[in-house]
Amino acid sequence: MMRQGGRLVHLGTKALAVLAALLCSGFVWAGDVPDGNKLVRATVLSEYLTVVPGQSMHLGIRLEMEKGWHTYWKTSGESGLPVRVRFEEIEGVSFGELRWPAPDWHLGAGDVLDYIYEGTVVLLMPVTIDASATPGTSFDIRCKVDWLVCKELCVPGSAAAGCTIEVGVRSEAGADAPTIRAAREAIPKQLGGGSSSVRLAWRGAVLEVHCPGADGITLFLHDSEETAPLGPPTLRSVDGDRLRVPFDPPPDQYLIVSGVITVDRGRERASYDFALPGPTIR
Amino acid sequence: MGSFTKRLAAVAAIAFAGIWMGAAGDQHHSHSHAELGHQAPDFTLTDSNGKTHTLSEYTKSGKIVVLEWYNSGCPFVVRHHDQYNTMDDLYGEFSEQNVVFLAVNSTNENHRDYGLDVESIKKWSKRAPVLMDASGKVGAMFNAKTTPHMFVIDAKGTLAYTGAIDDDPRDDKSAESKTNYVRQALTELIASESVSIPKTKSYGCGVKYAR
Repeated sequence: MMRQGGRLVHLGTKALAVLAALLCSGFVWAGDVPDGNKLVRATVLSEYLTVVPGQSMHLGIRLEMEKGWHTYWKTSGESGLPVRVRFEEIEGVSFGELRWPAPDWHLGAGDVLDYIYEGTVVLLMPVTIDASATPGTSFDIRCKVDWLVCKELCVPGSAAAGCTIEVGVRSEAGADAPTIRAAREAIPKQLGGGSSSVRLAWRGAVLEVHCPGADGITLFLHDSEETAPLGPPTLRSVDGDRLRVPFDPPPDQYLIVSGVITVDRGRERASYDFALPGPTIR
Repeated sequence: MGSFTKRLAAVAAIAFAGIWMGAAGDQHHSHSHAELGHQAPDFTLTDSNGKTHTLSEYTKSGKIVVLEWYNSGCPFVVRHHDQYNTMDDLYGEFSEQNVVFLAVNSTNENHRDYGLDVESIKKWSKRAPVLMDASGKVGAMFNAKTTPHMFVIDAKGTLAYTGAIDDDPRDDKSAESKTNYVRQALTELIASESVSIPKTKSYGCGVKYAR
């Protein structure tokens, strides 16, 4: 498989070096290729500078994209690659599951539908400090973030980022606490069964979304190997409070169709996580 | 009643769209859009050396055809031609076994990645010809979304595989632990077996279609 088969030991780093050299040198003939590492700035923000033993809080992973460039949501859509955040394991700190705000809708030429982030986005990592942590000590938290960043072309990039959290007898919020709070607000809410603002129902193989009074609805679907919506245009309504999404093949009741719904009301955008079993089709 | 009418209208609209797209695509086939398990839509394209290639001529002569959506300016394509030799290795392995490899480039003429084919073929010693589809017509027929995006058409002209080249979009896996879906599909087809994984999600850069 490898061109220089056999010398596997060196190939990982060598291949990386070759790729990096190619991407940074004159390999792409039509002008300079920007450095993917510099198109996104990744920083880790801590909600608290000082925590008490046993405390839970959020770390924010802030990505600031160069103007016009975008990275990808946890489901990238039809092209691209999701941002990946990997925290180094550290004794005394437990990490939860990364939380993502709703993405933007990006319908490229040829109807290539991607779910993207532009500008600045803050992902959240729930952390819990061990109850046995000792006041007066600190935790040095490190993570590696990698991404594919695209505009008219795509380039990979990565960064190492981190922060230090002190353990004390009293917790103390940091300057980034308001940013973390705002990021928490932007995380999609779980859609309850009795929600009156978003109604989801199957009509045969058509998923009907009704958000009374909404100005626009967008559905961001997670990948499924078993079924797919019939084309991007069915996934967004910009001037109505109903959306009808036909699926092909029809999902059965054992299949969960899931994703995020964003609902626009005036200038307000609310987002909801949903997971819905397929319809029973007789 | 009203909702039923709406539903009927929606179904009719979809059906109509299907028929319309069918008419616009290719007149000789009932399926002008590639669909797994159905006859692949036929096309004729010219490669970067000026040679024309017609899909049905290959399949009529009993060839299996592999289509690889291609743009040498995309880092995922670079990965499979330079960092690894994924595509040309397949060519070496299967071209003597009645398999034809065609790369298709649907990059539009105004994109910075347009026009790199001849140089990239030389640079990578790529043996499969690169067919030019700057209008994106064939890309649309196959619903090619990414570079690479792979399609395997069996010797009867039926679309037997569509999706990714392998199961390693992030390039995390060792050579031994990754599955090359195209190799798997070709091995099965040559052994007269059905393709066990006929569909995966392709990964890569978006195809740079004309607006």
